[in-house]
Amino acid sequence: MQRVVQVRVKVDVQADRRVLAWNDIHGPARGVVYGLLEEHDPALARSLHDEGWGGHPLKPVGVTSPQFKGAPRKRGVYTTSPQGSVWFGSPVPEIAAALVSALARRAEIVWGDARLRIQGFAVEFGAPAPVAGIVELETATPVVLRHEGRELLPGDAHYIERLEHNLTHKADILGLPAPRGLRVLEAGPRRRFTVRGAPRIGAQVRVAMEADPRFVDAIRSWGLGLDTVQGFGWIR
Amino acid sequence: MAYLAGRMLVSVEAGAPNNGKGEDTTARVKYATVRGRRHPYVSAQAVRRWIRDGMVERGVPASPVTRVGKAQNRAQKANTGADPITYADDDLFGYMRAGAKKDDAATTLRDSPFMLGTLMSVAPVHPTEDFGVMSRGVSEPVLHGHEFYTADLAAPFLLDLPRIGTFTLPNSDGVGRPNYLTEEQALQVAQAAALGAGTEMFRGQGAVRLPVEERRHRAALLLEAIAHLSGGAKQALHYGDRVPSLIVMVPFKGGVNPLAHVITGDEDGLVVRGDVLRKELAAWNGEWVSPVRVGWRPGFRDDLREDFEKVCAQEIAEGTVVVNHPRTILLGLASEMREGAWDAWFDDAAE
Repeated sequence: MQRVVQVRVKVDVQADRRVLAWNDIHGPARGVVYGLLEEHDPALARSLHDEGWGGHPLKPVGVTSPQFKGAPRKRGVYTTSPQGSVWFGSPVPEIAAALVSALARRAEIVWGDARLRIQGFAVEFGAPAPVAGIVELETATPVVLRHEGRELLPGDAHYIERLEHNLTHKADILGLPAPRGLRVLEAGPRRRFTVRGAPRIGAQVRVAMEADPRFVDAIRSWGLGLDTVQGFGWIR
Repeated sequence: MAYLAGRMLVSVEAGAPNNGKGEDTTARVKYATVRGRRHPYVSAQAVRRWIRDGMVERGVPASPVTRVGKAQNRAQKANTGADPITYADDDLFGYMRAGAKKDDAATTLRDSPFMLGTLMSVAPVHPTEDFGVMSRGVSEPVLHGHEFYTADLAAPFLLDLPRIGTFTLPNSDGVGRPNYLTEEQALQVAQAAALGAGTEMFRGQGAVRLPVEERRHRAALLLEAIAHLSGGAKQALHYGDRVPSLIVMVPFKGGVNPLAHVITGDEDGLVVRGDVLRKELAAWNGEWVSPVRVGWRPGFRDDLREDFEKVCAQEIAEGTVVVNHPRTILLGLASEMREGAWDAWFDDAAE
């Protein structure tokens, strides 16, 4: 069985600009993650990129887009504030260790056109102690799911089925029992981002499921849905 | 159950395993004065050193020690690697690496999950002063002296099992400036994560925790080292076995040690109180897990053993108290731990 850990790292950052370009919100995430992994362990970065993990194409890495606390609200603009953070995580020990090692030595993260100066980073411990039974999880970034090439939103046909399929697949990779009884309790508005020229559409969700505590721990460092390495589906 | 409480007794026969500051040409043993009488002792630091050395002999790499200060004409210090993730001894025995104030270097500290008292003679003993002469090949003999004694030395110990392989980190939600990890701490987290450590809350503080397999392995190493205890000063002249002649251990919920008065002494020497053990176990009912493991070396005070086994006959018959050779008891418990039989002890008991 794959050894599973819960490692969630919050990196506090300050951007060198007041506004992030829309393409620069989720677009650079994947490059940043591979850049970090490559710095510490090029072979790991390459094999994760080319082959995925444990014989599956999925990449057990989670990250968020830069989240700015208290950023001024302006229509149509992604504003920044001095209190920014980017979260990173992975349930796989090797990947988590490589991410944390690389971050420890960094003073800044180049995020697309923006430079994010690292103010410090901390490991998260606030996670509630996992208990067997029904658990509620809420995402901080939109969840991306696809069915027959079409991006799905909560309420669409196949949404639950695809999310359940995604979670089962993740549980398989980690060698843990798959969750059951998945329900969407709440959904945020539709969001559309451009990632490498292609659109990603999704919404933040709050879900409930019956899951093995180890799986809940693992998924908290990975995320819900697809493209977690691109900053989607990170659990709050 | 969280803690392994114990009391061990090392029987010293004509030995000087731990010495104090010498006077002129005479080496003095360490002793404490209790009610005007001398009780020789072996410091906990010395025994911890013996246990550490025993772990190294058994192939466990020791944290490297560096001595700093003297060359720089500053306060002298000897620091270990302060790397409890890589080194089991740093994990089990703790360390303090004090940074120099003027360099603004951080002090790193780990409290020892293994706590040990002073191995103190259970009865007053007057050490013998041995007068020696070195006359081989010299015309004017050199005079020297040293002390030695025969005594039964007992000490309590406590092993905080949940803290083995558990490393607390600054909370990220502290008041005021966030407690960011230093680069060193972050790299330790990374190293721990690579070994499969996860993050969790431990006794109200955020911590990284090595997988239970590694944690139980480390606890077992300690027990195995005690089972093979050797070392101490004056081995050339006063060789003696240091494996405990008597050891009592009981898994306990809190950091209490109910065994203090079980192995004790009076004017005539060693006293082992089965009646005290029975009363303590009754008083702490629900706080400990059966069995109480008693390691008693064959031939060591058979008279006391007979009395003890008579007083505790019912408990022994029921299996609440198990008596065997100390090595068998210690290695048996270590092997049960390694097999995962006592994994629950590696977490704090739920209230």
